[in-house]
Amino acid sequence: MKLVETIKTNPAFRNLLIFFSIVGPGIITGSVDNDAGGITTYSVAGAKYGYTLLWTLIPSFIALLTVQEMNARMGIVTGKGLADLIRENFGVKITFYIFIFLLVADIGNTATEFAGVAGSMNVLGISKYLSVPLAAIAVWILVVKGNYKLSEKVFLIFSVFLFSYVVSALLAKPDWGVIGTAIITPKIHMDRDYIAMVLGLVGTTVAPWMQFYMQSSVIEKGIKIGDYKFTLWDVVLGCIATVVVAFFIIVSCAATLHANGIQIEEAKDAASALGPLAGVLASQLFAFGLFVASVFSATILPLATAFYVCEAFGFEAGIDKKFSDAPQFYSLFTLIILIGVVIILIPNAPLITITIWSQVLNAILLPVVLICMMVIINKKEIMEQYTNNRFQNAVGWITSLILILLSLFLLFTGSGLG
Amino acid sequence: MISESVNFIFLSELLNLPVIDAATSRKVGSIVDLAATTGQVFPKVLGLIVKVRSSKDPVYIPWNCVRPTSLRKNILIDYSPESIQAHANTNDGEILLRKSFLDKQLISTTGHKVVRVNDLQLLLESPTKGNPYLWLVHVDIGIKGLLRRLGFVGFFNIFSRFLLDRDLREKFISWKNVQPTSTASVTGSLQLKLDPSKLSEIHPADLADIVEDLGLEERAALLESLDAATAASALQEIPLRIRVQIAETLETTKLAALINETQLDEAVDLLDELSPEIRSAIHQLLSPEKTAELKELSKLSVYGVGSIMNTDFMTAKTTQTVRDVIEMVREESEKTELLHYIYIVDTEMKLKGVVTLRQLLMLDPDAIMADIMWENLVTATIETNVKRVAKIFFKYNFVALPVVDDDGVMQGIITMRDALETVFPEMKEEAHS
Repeated sequence: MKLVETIKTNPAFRNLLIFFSIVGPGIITGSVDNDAGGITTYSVAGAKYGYTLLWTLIPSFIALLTVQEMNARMGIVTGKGLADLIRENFGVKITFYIFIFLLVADIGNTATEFAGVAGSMNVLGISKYLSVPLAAIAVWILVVKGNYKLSEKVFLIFSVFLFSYVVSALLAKPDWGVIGTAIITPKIHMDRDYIAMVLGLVGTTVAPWMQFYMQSSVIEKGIKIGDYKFTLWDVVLGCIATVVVAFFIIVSCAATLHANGIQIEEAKDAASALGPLAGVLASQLFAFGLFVASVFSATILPLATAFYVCEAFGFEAGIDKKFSDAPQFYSLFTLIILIGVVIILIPNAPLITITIWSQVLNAILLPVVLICMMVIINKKEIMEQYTNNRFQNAVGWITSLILILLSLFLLFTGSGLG
Repeated sequence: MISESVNFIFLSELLNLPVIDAATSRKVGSIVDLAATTGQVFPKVLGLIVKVRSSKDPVYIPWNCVRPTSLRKNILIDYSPESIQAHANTNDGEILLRKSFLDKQLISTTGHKVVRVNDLQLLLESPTKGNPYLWLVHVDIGIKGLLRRLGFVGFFNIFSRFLLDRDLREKFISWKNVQPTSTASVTGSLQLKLDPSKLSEIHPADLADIVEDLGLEERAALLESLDAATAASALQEIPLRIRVQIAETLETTKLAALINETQLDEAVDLLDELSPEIRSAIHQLLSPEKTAELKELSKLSVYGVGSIMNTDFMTAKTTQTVRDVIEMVREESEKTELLHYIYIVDTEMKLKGVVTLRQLLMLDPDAIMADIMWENLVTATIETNVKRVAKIFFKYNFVALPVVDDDGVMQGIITMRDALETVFPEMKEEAHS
């Protein structure tokens, strides 16, 4: 009793308690970011260019932080989801096309996640005809039969597992001196492949659906504007987690695959190739990380998609609702998973094409969503005194502009990276 | 030929229609919104908001300039420069239909939920003589309305006829049965005034769901429009974390009134989560007795029975007769939450026994409490663990349990609901979602 009293009255402890009650949305979103597609991009980048692309993580971090912070702020101030705000401010037509594209892109992305499940389990010696349906059923049950609190706890534990990449990278015994030099003095090549790879790295970090997810989960948590600073920390931590995991994936592939001149196309190739070079443990940890990331994103992605589609078109949504209260929501969620699973289980499915096309769709959507966000967050009638200040606007617009240019480039060169 | 025609028209069909000067057949501009008065049951259109080439801001053209036509292809008006007004000169009581409602959320007062407006259906009344009238009568919340706005309705209708052998169904709600969450006036100001009479029929649990579905501002506006008792019972149904968030957006005086109407134990839970500044502001606004009670319960808080104890209970003296006690129950029934048990105490408030309401009704009115009361009591103390209390409830099938201090003096009661809620907090949230 005394201890509890002490904790409750000590301001430092009190802040820590509040922080732990608020933490979640940022870290979860940051971790979902390193999904199967992300891991593939990082692995390929590490295998092909060694440490020379590590510097891109710094601008990626800034872009991610800027965008996520805006979403958190909009969610806290308005209590409305991003889909709601876009529908109310830009009308039904823009909303409809954004969501049709998002839906298609997210189905493609979900298929990529299940491909990650299949690939990682394959490395561990389990057939995809067993692993993929089982993973899909587990995901479905967690969301439909579980509740928000439980899901969030499971997700947070997932995030911790992603640090298996750190161990995997350390087992690869990288040369830290070279890594330091590569980050501080980036060597930028001007050839097309290199630039496409940079675009892929930044682009995989800031995906449009994450913005909707971030904003909704802040609302679901009921965070007050007074606790904004804690949410900001949550977002910062999430972004750091994203970048740190990405860093170690690149490092482990660079130290082994690149050093030995091995080229890969998929993340699971990296996991298999690690075996002879860094030991079975490193290989299995890499595969395990890929598995966790894939299952994690295969849960959140269909959920988030179903959620904001329903939000935009006025259907009831939320995992705390019963099926009969939110039939469209649950049907959509189930359908997205189902299509994703079926695509993976078809023998010889054109996986790489699907991945590329969903990335291209993301690339088209991202600028649209970002511009909508920038317009909304600067409206006084919506954000009151919490609109962007000059600094935030400068960072926001520059980030949007760069991401738009990157997306356009990706789109026109057609070099979508897996 | 009929002398008067009545037909329906959608707002989405009117928007962007050209506005034509009837005398010269010249295009004046195109329509961007409608201004209406909300004085009557159905909003009546009083003006067109028209985008004209000559000015950056749209202008206001009064409805009485409009010629009686079907409004399908264009809108014919009797144009004169004097009839056109800038926004600022118009009546603040008029609201903009598109800006206020289209794509926004409304509360369906019969469906008891928040809906999103896909379109508005207007009724055009064209008398043989004089100007036509245009009323807002229905809110379209269906898929068909959505498809119409996207321009796909014909396409999907073919599918629907083929697959289901019928046209797509419309889904309308009468304007009588909706409550806007905010309205934009012609002059540009945003109002968040709600009509409590439309909401008073909704059950607090449904109101709670509605509150959860709204944005922060609308939530505050909704709760502030309700009377304190209704708002308090709706708020009680909302999960605590959201409740705290809402409480902090309310005006302090409103929040104090609300807390005054909330059951003590729930009020303590809420106050304990609020920031110290708000908490002390609330304490100052409440009566000293209430504040003392709240503080007393709060001080006891964390993990023990004290945190869920309710000080709202009925006592009678050992010497009182059944008749006296029934009379007392009648008087107290208004303010007491739980009427099942009357606790019998001696002059020092030490708990001696209990009688049930059923006993009182069945026994001789002249019998005294000491003779009829149950003396073998199961009690809890403030330190008793809540889980243990829950077990007692399961074992004995009580509805409430008395709490006594070390000397046996009555302190309060715990209801089964409160114990259940503490042991299974997630169940409460599930039940409400």
